[in-house]
Amino acid sequence: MRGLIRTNRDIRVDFFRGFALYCIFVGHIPDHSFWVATIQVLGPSDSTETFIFLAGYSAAIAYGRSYDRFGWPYAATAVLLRVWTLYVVHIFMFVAFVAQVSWSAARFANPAYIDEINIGAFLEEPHLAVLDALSLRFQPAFMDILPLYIVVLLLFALMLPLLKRPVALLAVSGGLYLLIRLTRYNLSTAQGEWFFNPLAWQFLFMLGAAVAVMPEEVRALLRRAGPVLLPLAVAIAIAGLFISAVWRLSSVYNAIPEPLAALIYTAIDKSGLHPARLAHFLALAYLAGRIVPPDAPWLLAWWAQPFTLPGQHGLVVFTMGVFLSFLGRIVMQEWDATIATQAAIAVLGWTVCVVVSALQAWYDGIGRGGAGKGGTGPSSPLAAQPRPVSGSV
Amino acid sequence: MTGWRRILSAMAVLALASAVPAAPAAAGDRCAAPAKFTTAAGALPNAAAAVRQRQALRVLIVGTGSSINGGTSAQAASYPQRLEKDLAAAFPGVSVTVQTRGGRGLTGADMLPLVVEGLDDFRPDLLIWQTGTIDAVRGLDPDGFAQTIGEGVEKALKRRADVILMDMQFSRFSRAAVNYGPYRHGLDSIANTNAGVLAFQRYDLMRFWAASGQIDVERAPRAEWQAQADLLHACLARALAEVIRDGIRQASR
Repeated sequence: MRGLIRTNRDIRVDFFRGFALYCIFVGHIPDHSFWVATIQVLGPSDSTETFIFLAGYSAAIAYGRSYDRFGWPYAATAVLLRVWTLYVVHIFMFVAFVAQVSWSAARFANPAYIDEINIGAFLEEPHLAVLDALSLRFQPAFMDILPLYIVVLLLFALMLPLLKRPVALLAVSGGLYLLIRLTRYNLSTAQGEWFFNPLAWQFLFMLGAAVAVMPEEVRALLRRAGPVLLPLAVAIAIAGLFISAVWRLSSVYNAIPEPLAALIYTAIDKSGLHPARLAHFLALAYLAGRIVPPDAPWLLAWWAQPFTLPGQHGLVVFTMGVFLSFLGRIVMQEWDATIATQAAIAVLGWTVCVVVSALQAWYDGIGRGGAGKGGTGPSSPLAAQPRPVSGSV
Repeated sequence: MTGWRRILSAMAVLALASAVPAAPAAAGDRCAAPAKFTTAAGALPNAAAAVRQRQALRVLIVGTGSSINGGTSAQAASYPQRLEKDLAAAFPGVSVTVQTRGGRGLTGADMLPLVVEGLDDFRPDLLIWQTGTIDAVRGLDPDGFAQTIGEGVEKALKRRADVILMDMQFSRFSRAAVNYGPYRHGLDSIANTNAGVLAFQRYDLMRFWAASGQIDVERAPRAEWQAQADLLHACLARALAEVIRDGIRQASR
């Protein structure tokens, strides 16, 4: 596996993205107990934040390079091709969902589940359901993260020229985020509103992009601000642990003053990327960047490789993970949900993701005419990565 | 109230509460459940006051299909009717009345007017609001759902009714096809943030029973559907009665 991991880039990004993808895979299987070892236990932000931020980071490197070499239309087309892939996967997931529901609904003829049978209600008007699925307006459970990613990438295709002016990018993107926070506007679905409001979440993606193209002066400024930023980030990370404890442990909840506890419990929304989630994620990202040096040997240790390698092939692993978590839910529905089965689902599912990313790495390596390590890396500090290949998101 | 009177009345309620087993043992061990499902996380002061001062307990149940017509062999076998009997047995000498409102397919927002109407007409001491299923099945906005339930709970507390919020039924299919998480979190957060409001975690309780093989409505053969539903409702009523008894006991401490 080691030989398939490209090392001419910041593999910290790959490791953390791989781990976030693993967390998303497990997190999309309800009642799966491995959630206790996912990012969400650290505080209000979870693997969705990590994934979207690092997707923006990688996209800025991959498509920023295309933009430099071939211009906006070319780079935007590359993004749109990526969007098309995600869209097709979304429709595939819709078909899988229809198959699951129509096949399982017979069992729900049991009058004890007179309410739950409504899960299949959309089957009564299939023409509307299909149209809603095609227009991203039908977002049944666990099918909400693909539409988010699709819309965010569309916005990114529009904002590509702003990669040259990171401040303007953040101003436009942050302005939209603020506007959405203030107006509470959200896109509608056939049933209600988007679970992840893409107009709010795009800000995190663009933040990731801006960090990737950050000029050297800003990096130097950040380094100088270290004595302030480090304690701040540590404080926010500790506050995050505290919030997580309030959310999950009633003993902690009861130990703090009622108004504060109630506020923590109810005010931090996920749909609109609440500022507490944003701040918590940024603090974690900053700490990870400070604690883990770019060439930390453990990033290539035997136990880290199954995350670092898939992290280099985000698109294929992400889509595969979405489908595998669907299969995991089916296994727990049809077979059993004992801890042994849950462990088997997690291990087997993630093994498939690792194998798929290994295949992709091998394929890309042949296509580049060299070993998987990427050969001669470009010299630009912004683009420590070869041409965008299908592996990078 | 003076200290002595408080202690005396507490002892009276305790004596009442412990005089009789919580529920008939007819359902046997199939109802057995971990203590967290049969104890109250907080007190039920209004219900306790009603039992203590008026020797009466009025319980309003508002819910969806599983509360109105849960697939049992008869109305009398459904958990609201059984709860009335179990509570009457748990509090001898107290007149227990349970009234049920609602219907299949109702969202939290659909039920809010029924809750308000029930509070005004029936003047309950305890509201059991079984909700969340339809909102989750239809994928309606979870924050809006929590707001609606919060509104109803506030109205109940203002009218001196305690509240028990009951979440969804467990089934493997709905676990795989519906994201109950945000709605269950919404109900839990309202219960956690309001004194006099408890969460009755039906989903986790039914999941426990299914995993232990005690009660499994979903996997029962068709011929046993009704019998399993009857057992489920008997055990739900028993667990609810124990929670209510414990909440009243805590209020009287």
